[in-house]
Amino acid sequence: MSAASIPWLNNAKDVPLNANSGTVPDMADTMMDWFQLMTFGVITKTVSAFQLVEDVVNVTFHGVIQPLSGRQIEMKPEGQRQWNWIMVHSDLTLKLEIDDIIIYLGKQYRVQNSKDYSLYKYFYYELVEDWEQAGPPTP
Amino acid sequence: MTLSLFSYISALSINLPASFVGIGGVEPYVYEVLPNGAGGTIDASTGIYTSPAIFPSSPRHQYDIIQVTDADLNTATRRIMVGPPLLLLCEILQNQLGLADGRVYIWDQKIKEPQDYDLYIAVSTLYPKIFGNTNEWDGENQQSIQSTNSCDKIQIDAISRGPAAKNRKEEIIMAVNSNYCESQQELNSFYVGKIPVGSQFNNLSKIDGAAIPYRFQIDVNMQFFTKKVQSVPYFENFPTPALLVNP
Repeated sequence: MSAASIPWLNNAKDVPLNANSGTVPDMADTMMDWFQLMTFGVITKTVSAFQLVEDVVNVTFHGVIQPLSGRQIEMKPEGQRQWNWIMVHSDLTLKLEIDDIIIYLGKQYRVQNSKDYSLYKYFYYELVEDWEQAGPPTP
Repeated sequence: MTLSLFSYISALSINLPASFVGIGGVEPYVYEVLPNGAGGTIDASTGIYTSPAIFPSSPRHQYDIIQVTDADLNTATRRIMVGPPLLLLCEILQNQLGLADGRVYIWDQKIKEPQDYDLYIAVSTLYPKIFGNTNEWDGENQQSIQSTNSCDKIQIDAISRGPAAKNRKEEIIMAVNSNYCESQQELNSFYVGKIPVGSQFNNLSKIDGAAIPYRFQIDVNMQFFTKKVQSVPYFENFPTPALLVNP
């Protein structure tokens, strides 16, 4: 077989990210293969009669949690290395801001890092297990 | 004329009356307090509201909603807040600066910083100082009458991302010196010290970074009494005399 008859292979490594001008890779399909259905109880804060009122709103989304690597934890500020850090990749349903508090499987976590990859169709968060309990929700 | 409900008073301490009056619609009016509120009561025919005997334990139940129903079964409502002097001061600021709910708040580290452009007022209590602490005995009614006399230094912060805090901070001084503030003090037995000429706003603008460019802070002194009356039935609960018999 001559070389000319070999089908041309479009190898992804040869496709630069800016091949389609003005776009970034849509990772939604890829991420969905990895994600599972999860529910976070997100603690919301509002003001009623000049005072703080806390509620827990359950947000169901597709995502995945993983522990941070030892190296990543080592780079955290002194005194926080022994705490339980997790990273969360989620679909665009879960919108958290830094210092937000969530409850997952009965444990309370605080958002310490938030990366907006919404152009790529996912969010990335780093959470640390929170030692100051926010609840219970205001009766 | 459409039915509406009027009252001069929109915030009150405990055990105090306030008058509500139906206007428009078709007489007679029937007044009621809607459930799940602060726990006050109202005379169905006269509209005289009485605030509850104790302060509500949750911010969600700080307001009582008063409803008036006319002869055609049309209704109108109006709310009244029941709270201690610190909340009454917050209500004075909200009332006098014409701010929406949520824009005046007691400072709490768990509350997020303002996210929008307009004015927020944060109120914090700095040094609660007790001047008097008494327990008097009312022998005739077998009651213990306790009271404390406190002086709180209150810090008021005007905060805004836009220039509202810079432009409207003087309204805080006017609110504390307003007729509404004076009537609330008289009605609810607390005293807010006037902010004297020569006082200065602390300009804390920009120290929080570009996110909150304007922040002006000033202190006021607030004096108030708290009173508690408890029944102490010394002479009512003697145990039944029993004859002791040697075994």
